[in-house]
Amino acid sequence: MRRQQARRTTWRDAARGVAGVVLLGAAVIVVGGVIAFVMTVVMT
Amino acid sequence: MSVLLKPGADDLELIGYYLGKILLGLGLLQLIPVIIALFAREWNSATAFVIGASLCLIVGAVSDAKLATRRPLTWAHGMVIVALAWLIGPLFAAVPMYLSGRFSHPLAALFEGMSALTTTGMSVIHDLDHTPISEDLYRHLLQFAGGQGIVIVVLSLFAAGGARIATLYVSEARDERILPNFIRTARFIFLVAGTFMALGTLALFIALWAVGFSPTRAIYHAINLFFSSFDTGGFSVMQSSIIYYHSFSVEIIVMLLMIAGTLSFGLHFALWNRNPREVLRHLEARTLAVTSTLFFLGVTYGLLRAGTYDSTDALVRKGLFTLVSAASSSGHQVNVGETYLTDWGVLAPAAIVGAMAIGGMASSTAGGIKAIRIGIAFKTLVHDIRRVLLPESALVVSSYHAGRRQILRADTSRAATSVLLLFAFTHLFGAVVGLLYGDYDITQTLFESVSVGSNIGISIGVVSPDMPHGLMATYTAMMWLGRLEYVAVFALLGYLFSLARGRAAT
Repeated sequence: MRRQQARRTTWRDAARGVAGVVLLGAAVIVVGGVIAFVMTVVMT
Repeated sequence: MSVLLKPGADDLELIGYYLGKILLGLGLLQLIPVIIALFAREWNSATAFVIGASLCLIVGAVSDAKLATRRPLTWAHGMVIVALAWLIGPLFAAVPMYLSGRFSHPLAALFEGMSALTTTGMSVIHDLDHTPISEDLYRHLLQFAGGQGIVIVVLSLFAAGGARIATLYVSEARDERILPNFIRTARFIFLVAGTFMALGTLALFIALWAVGFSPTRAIYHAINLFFSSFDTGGFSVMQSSIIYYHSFSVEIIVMLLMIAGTLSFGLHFALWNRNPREVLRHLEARTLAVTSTLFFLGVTYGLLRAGTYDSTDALVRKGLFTLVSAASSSGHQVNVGETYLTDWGVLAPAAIVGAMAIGGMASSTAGGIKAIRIGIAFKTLVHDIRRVLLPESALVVSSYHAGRRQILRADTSRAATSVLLLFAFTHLFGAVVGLLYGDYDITQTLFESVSVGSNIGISIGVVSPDMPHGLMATYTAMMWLGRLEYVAVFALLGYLFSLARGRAAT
């Protein structure tokens, strides 16, 4: 990762960071759910 | 011809000085459960922690007073300090554990200490369900300290400047320099952890309260669950791990925290700084996405084929959760260990073993080979095939995105594949040692060996308080090797060799 110039971190930065992780996690669960659903339909 | 120089007394003093600082930090950490034990009137636990903390603080203070130096650290010093810190830390962390009387043997307490600090999460404690709250909190606090990087945690508190601890940061298998100054990098890591601690604990508290926990019990479980999930540790308050809660909300929050923990701090930095595209472009994120999808296809196919589950709901709550737990190197379980052997068939556990071997991202709290090495190894393979197929005169250049576009260099490829091979060798070695005892089959020993060697913590049932001591010692060493990703350990062995056989400097 390229070194970044330090600047003061704000609560908005933290909110963005947490929102990003939540979206990523939601994507993992949704994609996992779709795979599980399709596999269940195909194999049972 | 180069001459191997014998380290001098001042080199050893320097190493001792920094190791003393680690013990000071560990001693301060042990004071937290002392306070909890006093409030909870757990007098035996309080005594054990006072003795443990005193030992750490006295040794640390003596080394600080006697060995203080302003000599700069070299790379060799950094590597040796980190390798020793990850041996001495678990050793001193194990003292109050053993004194608590919940471990049958000092080796079992050392195993638990190593498992905690390396965020592996395997446990050999007796009667976990009735462990005093101060002792439970201590185990989880150790996972937090270990997950953040115990050396960097302590030295960023005590050390004077960033440049002096740069070598230690890199030696501790954390090579991503997010900010120009290492102290600032460490502070950013704490900021991320602190933010997720506040929000994650609150979310878990609400979810646990909603399923009927009393407020005090909910906050106690929420704090411990946060530590073991975000720091990809996998310890639990109850023997039955996450199954105990019977709550889909808790499982979802734990999954989110495990994903947050396995994300490299570099990618956290990108998310915090309006650069979410970095997550989509980074080689490591892409590698983890592709491998996890393939492994999940294997898990679902295997479970449906074996007839273990036949609904989407069960595949998500059992299969996906276990895969996220494996790929994030957390080790939380929603199945009883033996289930993988008796009910899961062959393919699904094999896919989980694959996910455990790779583990999470480099420069995160996760363990394993690390997705970046798999990505680089794959890029190297493609590069070599291109070189064979293209005309000899063609200049073949391969690149990948990791923070910025990077050229695939021979030394990067060599380093990635060497560590990958060392992990594979260690996993096989652990499996063979398990087989020597004659009580387990290859499925059990390989599953457990990969889980231990990659610092994951999902157990198929081999690790228990009554397991053979030889196997326990082997697994303890494997956890140490896996956490340090070998380089610092080889540096320590080289240092010991030069101490024994090197020529004294004139």
